[in-house]
Amino acid sequence: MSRFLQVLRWELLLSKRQIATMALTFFGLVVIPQILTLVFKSSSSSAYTMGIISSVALSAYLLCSGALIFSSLRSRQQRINNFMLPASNKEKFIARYLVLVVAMPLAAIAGFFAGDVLQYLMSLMINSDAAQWATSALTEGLNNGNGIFHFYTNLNGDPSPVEGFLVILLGTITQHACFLLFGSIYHKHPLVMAVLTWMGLGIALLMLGALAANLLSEFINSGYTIILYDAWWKALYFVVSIALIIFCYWFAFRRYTRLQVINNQWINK
Amino acid sequence: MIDVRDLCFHYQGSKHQVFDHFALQLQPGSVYGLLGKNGTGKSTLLYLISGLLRPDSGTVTVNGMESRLRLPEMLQEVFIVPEEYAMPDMSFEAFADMMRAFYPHFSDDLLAKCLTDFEMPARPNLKELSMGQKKKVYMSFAIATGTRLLMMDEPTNGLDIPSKALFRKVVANYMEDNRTLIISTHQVHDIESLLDHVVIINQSRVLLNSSIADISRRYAFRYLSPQEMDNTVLYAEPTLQGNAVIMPRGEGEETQVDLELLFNATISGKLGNA
Repeated sequence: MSRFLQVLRWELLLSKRQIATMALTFFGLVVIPQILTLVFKSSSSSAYTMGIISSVALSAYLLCSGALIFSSLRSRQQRINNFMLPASNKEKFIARYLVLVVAMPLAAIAGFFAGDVLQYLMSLMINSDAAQWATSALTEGLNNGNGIFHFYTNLNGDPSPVEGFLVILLGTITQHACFLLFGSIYHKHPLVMAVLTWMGLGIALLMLGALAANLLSEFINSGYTIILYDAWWKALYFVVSIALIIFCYWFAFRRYTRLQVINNQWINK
Repeated sequence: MIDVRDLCFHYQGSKHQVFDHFALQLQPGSVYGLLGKNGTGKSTLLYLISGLLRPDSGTVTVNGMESRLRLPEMLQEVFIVPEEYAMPDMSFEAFADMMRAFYPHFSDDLLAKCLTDFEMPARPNLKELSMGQKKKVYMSFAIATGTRLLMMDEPTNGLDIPSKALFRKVVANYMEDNRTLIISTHQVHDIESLLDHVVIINQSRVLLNSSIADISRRYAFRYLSPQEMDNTVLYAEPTLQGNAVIMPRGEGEETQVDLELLFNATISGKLGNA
């Protein structure tokens, strides 16, 4: 455990510049627009809008950040430093993942809150009518999200927010895991390539879905009776999602253990 | 200590087989000079030993552990100094702290001594170092880790002439007997006095794997005038001082091994007939 903490410390030290950039970006995202608003349009506030934008940006980061799993192993020297570090592959991979998926968002949140406090105090000093918390957009967003879960119904047709939450959570983790998989396949521009692949797959799945729906309607129109059990679909969704998540994490880890200092084609013996 | 068996390796996208059923055994406690022509795979071999590359087939083991698995127990006993090095983006103190945490035999005392002998400040600013200075600092860390196996790829490249002498001094002073050092280089004169073992490889074959003592016992390295040349000469190269030759030592006095001459003779296959 102590060695793992040392690996985590090593990764944090090496990523400190990116972590600081992340915090500053979210700090600036809240503060700069509010300064401009106060200067040019003193009666209004951009805090609420920037709160929404920040939360969307952070959600997008959490969904797509897996694609950046090997982005700090670009140079030969970075790879030598990482691979020669006396720790297990598992420790190094988990530490790398935690920095990307926990430390970076935490830095973003810290930057956001610090920026929100600053912009609120500035607004109070310049024009107290324009003072508004950007954080209120987040709390409101969370409440609205909670409302969406209530629309989800179970097999009996009753509202089932817990099940709804699980379905959306699983979908989100699946997308995150898929980006992890893409990030371990693409070496050049992994984020761009991952987004393009995701879009391509999304379009392909939509087309397949449309094709399947069309076939079903043709069957039904020609007199067949097709019974689709809702429970089966839900079970299939859960099983496929969990299997896909496990596969993506396994693949990314296996890929990490096979990375080399040079010679990095994505299929290595 | 290092056991390379039936090693096959090629770089992806290249048809050139760097190693084709290559085998090599190295014993602990020696300073090995790994010599070979350009493209024979000296650096590749160091990377394969340290687990930075994976063999196509065959095995490379260090202290009985397969290097491709990068086990922590192996990694804490292995350190490699690559030809070109960029220090990580952190302070000297933070880097030393991390090294201390990961290498159980790390010695601050040894680090300070190496830095002093390399004529470097005790706390250098890692962001303001030249290429040669980076190499000196990194080599100091390499020695201070206390790993049982230390590998250096072209360690004297990028060092000025006084620094090359300092390098020899540091290695000679601080490499303990239980540690193994493998130096891969073209600059044989820079390391001649350090080596106690020579390995010459060419086209997947080990042409020579012998101690300097054994070479000195078997061969004499002399300068002969054209009139003195006879059929006992195994290999000769014309020089300004006469012909530099290798001949069987016989009962004669021991001579200093001329690594460059030995390398050329071995590569040309002349010593194989001896």
